[in-house]
Amino acid sequence: MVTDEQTMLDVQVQAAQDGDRYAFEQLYQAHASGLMPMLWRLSGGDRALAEDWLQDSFVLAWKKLKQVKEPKAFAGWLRKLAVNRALSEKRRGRLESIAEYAEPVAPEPPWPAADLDLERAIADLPKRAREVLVLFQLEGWTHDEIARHLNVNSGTSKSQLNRARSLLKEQLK
Amino acid sequence: MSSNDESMNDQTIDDQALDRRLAALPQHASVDSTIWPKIEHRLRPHSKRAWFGGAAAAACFLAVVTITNYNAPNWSELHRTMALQAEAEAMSASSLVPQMISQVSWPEDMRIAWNEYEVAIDELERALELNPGYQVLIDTLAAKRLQQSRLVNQAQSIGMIRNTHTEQRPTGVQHYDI
Repeated sequence: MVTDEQTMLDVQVQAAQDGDRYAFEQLYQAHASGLMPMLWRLSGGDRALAEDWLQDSFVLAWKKLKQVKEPKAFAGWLRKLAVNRALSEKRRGRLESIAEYAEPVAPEPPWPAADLDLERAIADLPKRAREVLVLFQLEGWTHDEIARHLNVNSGTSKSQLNRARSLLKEQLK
Repeated sequence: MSSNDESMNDQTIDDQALDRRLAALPQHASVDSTIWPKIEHRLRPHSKRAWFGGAAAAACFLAVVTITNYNAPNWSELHRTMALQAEAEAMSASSLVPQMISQVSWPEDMRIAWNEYEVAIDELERALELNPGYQVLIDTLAAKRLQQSRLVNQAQSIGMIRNTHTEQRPTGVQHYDI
């Protein structure tokens, strides 16, 4: 059964693929809020960086929108695009350079966080452990997928997840 | 229960608690309203337009420079054409003079004009002998001859002179006001 929501998504994706920027804006309004927490966590609590990634992801999505063959695959495709954007930035070492000069402040999520301690603990994790935790635990990726994206083997991904969980439990005691 | 079992139990409880807390983390959050305008700005092909505008401006500049440089010899060419035309018309008209001018009963104003042109042409020719190739003199002489020839044509048009040369001249010949 095709829902109205799915029909709307089909129409918006197809219109955006045909160059309709208004339709693309509707897609942004519908999906940006679902990307922001993930990007904020991947960025280690750097709101400005997360917003940059969000912008870049949608600009990239606009350019590559023709790749989406099935409109219902749009959300997953966009999410992968955003993760790739975030991970590619980190591979270039931007976060390290920012962290080197930035004042150490407790990260504050740009939404009313019910579990601020956990959000901050995730943001404070070492970057590789944080990436694995976010992708495995919150995004539902497999260790094989994570390993491919991070250019590591799946054993490394598993050990990074254990490390992240141990650090979180230690932090949240 | 051994102390080791207690430790495992604590660990399990901590893991479960962590999983619950992780699962409860928000997956959606409102996004700053200033982000979409920035994205939209980047989606516009303005950067291409700016590049294209810059290229167009450069092309316009080059075109102006080229036209300016290209027109200079053209104006000179046009000038020479005008001078040649004046010479041709003047020669055509002057061919009438020996046979006809003396026979023409000019209206007074046209006779005065004719004589003035004659005087001016004589003076210019003498000046040109002293300064051969002096372009201003050449141009002025050509202009005077053209004006004189037009005077003859005017006399023809009112029926005072008949000239087979001018009658045979094709219509549509361009005249340049000097």
